[in-house]
Amino acid sequence: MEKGIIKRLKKGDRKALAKIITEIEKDYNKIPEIFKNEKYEYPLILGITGPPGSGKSTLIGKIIKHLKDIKIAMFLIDPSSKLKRGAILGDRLRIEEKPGDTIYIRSFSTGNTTSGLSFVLPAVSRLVKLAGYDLIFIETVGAGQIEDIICDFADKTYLVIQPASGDEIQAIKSGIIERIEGIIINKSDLSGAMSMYNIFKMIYSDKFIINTSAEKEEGIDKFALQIRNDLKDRVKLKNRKQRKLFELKFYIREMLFREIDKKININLVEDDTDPLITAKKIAKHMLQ
Amino acid sequence: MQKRRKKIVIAKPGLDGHDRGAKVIARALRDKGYDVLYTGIRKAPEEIIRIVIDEDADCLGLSCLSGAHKELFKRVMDILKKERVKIPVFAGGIIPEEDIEYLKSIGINRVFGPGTKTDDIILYVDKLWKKA
Repeated sequence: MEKGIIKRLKKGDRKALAKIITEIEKDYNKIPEIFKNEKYEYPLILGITGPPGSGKSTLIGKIIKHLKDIKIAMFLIDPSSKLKRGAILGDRLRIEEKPGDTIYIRSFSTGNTTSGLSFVLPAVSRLVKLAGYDLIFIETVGAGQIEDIICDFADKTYLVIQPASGDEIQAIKSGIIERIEGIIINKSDLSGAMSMYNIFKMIYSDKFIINTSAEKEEGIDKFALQIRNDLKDRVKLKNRKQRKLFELKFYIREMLFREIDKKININLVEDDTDPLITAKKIAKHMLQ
Repeated sequence: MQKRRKKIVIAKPGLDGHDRGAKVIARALRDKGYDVLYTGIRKAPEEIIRIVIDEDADCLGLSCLSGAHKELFKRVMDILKKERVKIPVFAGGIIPEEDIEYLKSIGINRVFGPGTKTDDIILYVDKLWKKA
């Protein structure tokens, strides 16, 4: 790695930040080395999740101008192809940033992690803290019901949905909805937005629920205010131990998943044995 | 773990809103295993370079169908130079033969005019890192 680049990073040099992220993406083994002499610290992390096309990117893109005084980083995740391994990184085009804004935005492909997060996400979150950023928005891949690992990683997570995406039964189902801080009903210029609001407000009276229209810039100020409160509300932040535990589980899960993907092949299929018995045998072996 | 894929930014500077071609190229490059970031239409050269720097892109593809390619691409190349970003830049769109020499003189690595086959662009991009 370039000499003095960590020093430049700490001064808030965007180019240094961008280059170090690339280094980590190329070789994960550099992560411990980079942080060897640094404090273990995270900024506030807010997760933004929801189905594809619900307006996550547009929404966080519009919020920038309401939070100009805060040093924000945005990490935008899009899926890698399982067939061809490439990805279309198509979130950033919806985000309005002006040259000169302090915001730092970076797009990631999932790289076929089982979590749908990028493998380098914990490390790059700590990196931006070193560079002096106070807040990270993480926009997940399109998701909806059980993809709640973002709730484990982020301090708080907001679910972005659109009107007419289900009735009361959908709203009381188990899953991510139990774990989130708030629900943003985006595209609320479309019909059904108010009844959606009423359904959720009735069931989750303790959650932050608002109607927004990112396109028409309505309700964005309310969301910005909520984020300012999140920044002040340090009590609820994940602590050092919790963060380290997350990283531990996250890395192990991804590593094991990769091993399973690589090593469990047709040769391990036994003709006269129930697959469950074979699976127990292999799992026991792997965890030894 | 899957390591970093080469990251290519496909950008549309200026006021032209025709991006069918840019999207076709973006998808073709994705299918070859690249991470392709599409900037969307109507970006200022300054905005494009900001994206290239933040994302630490490995390559930049510019598309322009409005006829203002000489001015817009020049501005992009000037800022790249000022920011000391050294990555290969290729261009495509409605670009007349007689402009190609000029575009190469300002540092554009390769120009793809009307009638270019997607495969030619893929072949060009694939070769970029083979030498290194």
